Amino acid sequence: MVKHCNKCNVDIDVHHDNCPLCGAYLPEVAKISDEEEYKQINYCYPKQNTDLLIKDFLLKITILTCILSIGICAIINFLTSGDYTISWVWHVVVGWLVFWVTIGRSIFFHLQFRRQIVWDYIFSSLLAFYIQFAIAGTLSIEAEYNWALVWVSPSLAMGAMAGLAMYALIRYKEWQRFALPMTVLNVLSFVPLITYYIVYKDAHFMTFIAAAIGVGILLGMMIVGRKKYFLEIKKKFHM
Amino acid sequence: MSKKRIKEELQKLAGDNVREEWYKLDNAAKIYPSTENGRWNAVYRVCTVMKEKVDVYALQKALDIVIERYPALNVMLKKGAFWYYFQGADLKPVVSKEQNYPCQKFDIKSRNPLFRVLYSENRIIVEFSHCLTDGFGSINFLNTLVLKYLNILGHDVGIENVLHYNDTPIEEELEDSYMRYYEPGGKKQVKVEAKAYHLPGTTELNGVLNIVHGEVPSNELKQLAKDQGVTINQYVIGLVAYICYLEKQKDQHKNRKRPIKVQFTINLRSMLPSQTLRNFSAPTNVELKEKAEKMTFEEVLAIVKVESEKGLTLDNMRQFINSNCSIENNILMKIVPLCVKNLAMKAAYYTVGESLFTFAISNIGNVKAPSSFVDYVDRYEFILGSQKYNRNAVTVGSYNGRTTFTFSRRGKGASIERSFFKFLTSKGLNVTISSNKGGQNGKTL
Repeated sequence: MVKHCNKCNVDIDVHHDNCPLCGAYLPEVAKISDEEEYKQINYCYPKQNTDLLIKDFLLKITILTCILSIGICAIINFLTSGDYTISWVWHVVVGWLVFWVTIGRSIFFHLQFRRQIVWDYIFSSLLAFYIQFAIAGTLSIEAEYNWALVWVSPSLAMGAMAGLAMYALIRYKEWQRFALPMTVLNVLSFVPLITYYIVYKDAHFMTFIAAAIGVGILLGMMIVGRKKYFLEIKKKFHM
Repeated sequence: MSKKRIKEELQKLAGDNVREEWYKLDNAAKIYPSTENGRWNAVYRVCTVMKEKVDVYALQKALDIVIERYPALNVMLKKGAFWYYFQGADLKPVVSKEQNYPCQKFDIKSRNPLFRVLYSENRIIVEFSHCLTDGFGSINFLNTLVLKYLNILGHDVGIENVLHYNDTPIEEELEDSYMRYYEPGGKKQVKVEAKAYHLPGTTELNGVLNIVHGEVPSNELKQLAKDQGVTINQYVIGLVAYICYLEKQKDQHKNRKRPIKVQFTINLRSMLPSQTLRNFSAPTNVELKEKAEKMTFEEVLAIVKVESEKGLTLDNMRQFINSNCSIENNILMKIVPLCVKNLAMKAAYYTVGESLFTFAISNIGNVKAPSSFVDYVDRYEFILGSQKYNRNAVTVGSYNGRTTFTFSRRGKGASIERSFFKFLTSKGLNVTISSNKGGQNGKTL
């Protein structure tokens, strides 16, 4: 059974009240029994929703706040500095970077924990160097005062590897999923050692420990995981 | 603890919970995950309208069995260092009730397969991410699902024109046929296309997709096309181009200087034999070269006929495959990390993707299904999901002597569909309309 729209000269499925083409009201046709109605093919769509895009809205607001706050601070900094330069506004920029790389990423972009932990490690290390630079005012720092390289970066690497290993143990049935981020962390754990050696032509025990743990975990994965570890790496590198 | 138990525990520890099979994305699929964003990715729907209300329990049972037949579809998308890849999905697909607008975006980071099976009243719906397969693969899957569903309900249904759920999947169904027909060093497609005219209009809220189905008798449509000396496909392309042309005459935007181009998709299996259930199709643009004076439908159709035939040669298709596959095989492209590739592909899609056509048409043709489906299936519907920048698309599919046009629109106002169906009725065709707007079940829209 169909209705007819005289404006468009088309038949319309009986379940429609209005013509989908012109919006004209379509009067009811003769009532049919419930049994007949049940048997009838229903071409109509169910009541449809759109997901409320609160997250989308929040993201936009956050981006706007970020741009506005940096912009306003830059203008204030520029006008009040006396020699028309910007200085402290960099701290605001770094503050926002901290937000985006840590909380912002996981809230708005569904970053998985195993990837987030790698990025968190990289960013936290860079942040430590930034703070050290902000305090010292120079990049060339003597070995015993270079706490970012000697203490923070290796400790963070060890912490990240421990965190990821614990998480992999909790979800041991799918430990392969952690293979690539863990491998990346293992490789990154060498960075403090190499950097220290290049800069100071020496090696600090903390950087050694971090690198050794990295090697240990990497070998452990290769030995225990064997085929599965290498298959995971093969997938990730499309080999 | 027994030896067997220790072995089991060790197997568990070694991660037997994770499905190990993995597949590279086919050449056409590679662009889709890279161009997706928080609000959009390429999704389309294939659906059967059954003659009886859908039994959800039988459908779930059917799905559990049928999914084993299609290993290439039961996958989730994973990020590699250089490319995305498919890995066996962690979670089982579950049939759910249709509640949202058609073709909602997939969460490609989830552990679900990149397709969903839905039901509503008389419809059995399967929505696919375009990464997985094209129309051919999806209709095969739908037919197998419907076959098993009908069998579970106790109906005796023939098994011709359908991949049986008890068949073992063959290697060729999983292949990337683009790579099979790629000739390294072969002639490539060198085409620098101008941007196309885009229809004006107001865009709906994100996620809203307006659907209008129009059903006409296939033989009458065929006769109309025959009278003009063209195929149904050319007739539809011509009609869409003509309606875009009429819309353009009313438009005053500077964009109107650009040409109208209608994009249609060619199933490459018809030219290059392949049994793949993954993507194997090629888009072709038909440009309407406008005259200074007002054009008639017949004039537009004559141009479309010539232009569409020009693009439909085997040489052209091979060149298309060669140019796309050579990009993928380029050593520089291979070693660039995925995050950089994503940016490049997004930019490429923006500049040479949807901007090169005005309207997209996908002609599924006559659906091949077991003849006994006629007793249980009323019609097939195909919906192209919203595109990233363009607002309109139409699909055409025929079944059991009736052709269904499905317009999907992200914009407000149904002027294109209205003109389209008015034109067909003016030619004496009886058109029956249904939609996701203006319905009693969907009053709140």
